[in-house]
Amino acid sequence: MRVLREWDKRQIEVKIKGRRMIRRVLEEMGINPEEYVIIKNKRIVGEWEEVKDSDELVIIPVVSGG
Amino acid sequence: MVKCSCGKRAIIYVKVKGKYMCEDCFLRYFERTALNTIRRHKLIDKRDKIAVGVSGGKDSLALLYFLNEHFDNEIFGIFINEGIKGYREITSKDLRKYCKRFGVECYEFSFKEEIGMTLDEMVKRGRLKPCSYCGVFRRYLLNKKARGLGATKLAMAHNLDDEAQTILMNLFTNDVKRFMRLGYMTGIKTHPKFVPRIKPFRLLYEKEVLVYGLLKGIRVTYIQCPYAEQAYRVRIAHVLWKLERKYPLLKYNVVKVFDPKLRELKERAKDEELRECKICGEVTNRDICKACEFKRELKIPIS
Ligand SMILES: [Zn+2]
Ligand SMILES: [Zn+2]
Repeated sequence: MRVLREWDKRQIEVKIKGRRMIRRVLEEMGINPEEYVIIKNKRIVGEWEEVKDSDELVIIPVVSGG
Repeated sequence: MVKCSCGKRAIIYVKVKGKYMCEDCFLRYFERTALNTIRRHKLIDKRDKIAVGVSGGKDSLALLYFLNEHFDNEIFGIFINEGIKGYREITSKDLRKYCKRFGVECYEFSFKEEIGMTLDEMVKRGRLKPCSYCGVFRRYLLNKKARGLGATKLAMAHNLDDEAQTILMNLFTNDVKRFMRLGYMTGIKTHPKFVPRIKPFRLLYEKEVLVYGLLKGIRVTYIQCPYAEQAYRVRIAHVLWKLERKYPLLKYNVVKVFDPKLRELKERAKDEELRECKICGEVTNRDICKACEFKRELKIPIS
């Protein structure tokens, strides 16, 4: 699954077997889902939704600017 | 699939309501919350001319959009360019794009022209942290320019997260005076030169503001102020994010539990007199305002 990090525009490949909850995937990446809005296949989704390997995620940090 | 009470797919969990919500129900909840805040605390009057403090960030753009959508008052943006290389060029581009899209006028002022020095130059020359200079001069210019443009209210996009951070920062540093900047509206203790500041998004989580903006087509370039890491506020924010994860509604509770105390503190401060700075004539609670004091420290000629 392709994950785009909005803050540095980096794309990361994450291997997903079957279906997994987004919350778990992010936590394994060391990311606190609380601090991000998740876009799955161009739609905003909750961290409780599931992903499969062919999905595309964008993670947007809530905090920006200053 | 987690569903909203209306049956559609939920996209967000709204903690304050304890509910999963779909796009439509979330938008309704968001706008209703902001409108209720405005109504309950009488933030906007029909005759008000509203200046919105904008930065090109998602929060202030969401506020500008929201106010422009819901109110017939005259509304415009004020953008203060502090002069932070590699940062403000980008956010100001986003700002111009969205102001044009919303059809809202936006006025731009810079530290360089108004104060005499960019923030980058101040940081090189002065002893204080960037956020100290930035905060003081930005507040100074926002008030001065809002008034100059005829605004009767200055709307700021402070959200629940900002407010909780500020409360804790002031608490940890025992800085009671700064508590006056908290609340739905500051500057009730009126001075003709002070434009009251209003915060319609005070009860909305920053995450909710971001989702609202995204649903309304506001997606700005992600960029962090290069000085943010030096900021006390940012450190407090990190701690709060971790705590909120463990204890949902923690930030909301920090803001809510403090509201009665805030009223008490503000009541007590009412006697404290606002006056005009002996040098520049701007409103302050001291003889010489903080901006003039900083200018002196930075050896900027006072005109
Ligand atoms: Zn719904
Ligand atoms: Zn002054």
